[in-house]
Amino acid sequence: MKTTIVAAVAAFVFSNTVAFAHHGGSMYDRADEFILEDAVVVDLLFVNPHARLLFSWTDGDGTLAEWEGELSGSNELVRTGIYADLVEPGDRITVKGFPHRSIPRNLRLSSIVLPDGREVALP
Amino acid sequence: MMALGISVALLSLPAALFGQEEAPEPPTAQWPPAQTPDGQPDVQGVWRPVLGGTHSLNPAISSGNLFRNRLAGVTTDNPSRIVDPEDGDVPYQPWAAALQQELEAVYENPTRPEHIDTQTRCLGPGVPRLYYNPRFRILQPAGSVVFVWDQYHTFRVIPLDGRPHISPRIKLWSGDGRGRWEGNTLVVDTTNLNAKSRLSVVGDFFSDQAHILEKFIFIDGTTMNYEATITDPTVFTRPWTMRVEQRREAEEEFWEYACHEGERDAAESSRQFTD
Repeated sequence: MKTTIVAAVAAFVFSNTVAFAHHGGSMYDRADEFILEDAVVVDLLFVNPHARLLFSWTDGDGTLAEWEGELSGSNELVRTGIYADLVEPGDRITVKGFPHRSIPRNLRLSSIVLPDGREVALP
Repeated sequence: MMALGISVALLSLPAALFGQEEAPEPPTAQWPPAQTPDGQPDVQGVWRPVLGGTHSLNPAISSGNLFRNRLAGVTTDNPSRIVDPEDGDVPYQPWAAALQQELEAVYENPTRPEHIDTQTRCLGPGVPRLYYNPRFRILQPAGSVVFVWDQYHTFRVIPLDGRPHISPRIKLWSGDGRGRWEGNTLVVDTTNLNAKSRLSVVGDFFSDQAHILEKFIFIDGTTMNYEATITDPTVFTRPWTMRVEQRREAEEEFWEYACHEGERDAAESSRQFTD
């Protein structure tokens, strides 16, 4: 399992997905996109103004830690066809997002790859 | 090993394609408008700013667009929301300009609670900021116009019966609006503002002495211009006017929006506070 940073792709993905209805994105590092493979869903908090995906991920050194990813609020997600049953606890997914500048293991999500291989862009 | 191999085509799938239910019917509206039972032009429905966003007034840009521009390494050529004065800038007095610039300098790295934008803290956006961010619904019960937003659980009730303003000792986030129809334009005189909300993420502001003359100029069944002229001699050198074009949206339900349930910015930003 590795973290892959794909700055070149990041701009493309982000331009199609991320929206900030509530606050700006200055707290996230725009230079790098993290891609975390084989993350395990802990919970999806389907709330406003921003939903939160809680997941665990084991880094290349074998260290297991809990991470948190921010999405748009639940109202906005539903209006783009994304519901609270998007993932279930225990699902193994790939998580993509931009890291918070000062809070470790905190991402602004851009997309996730579901267990069946479908990638879902996240507003 | 990871997944640079994911195709660009897949990455580019908009979220709307995933699990999207059938798209709502595009909006249609009678024009000239029908009359409500109490004789108002019937403009009820869902409306949304064409160029939404509250990051800054000049240029008019949302935080999301600003983020995407930074990713792409481009700058926006969006126009200013301000149509008077012609230069598009807020006509601040020198002390007020200095304060706005001070707030703009720290909005990304706040060191005090008051540096954090009010919207980011889930506080009410207030007037006029409500009209350049989320969608809203217009209802017209007899004798009034009601604006409803699901974001921030905010509403405004504008009486049309010519009643006087409430006591100046009362200050409100969205102020006290009193309206009248001039043809197909709703004119709202708004006072009693508490001025706790800001006009933008980058610290544009007015004081609780502000008086706002709002005009909702309905052009046709799907287009409306919102104009707000702000007079506040304590902050500005002259009255100034912003304009926000609005479009009718397809009907959709408005839902609850418990903003504080998932709000984390204030707590996360406070980690940087110095005292």
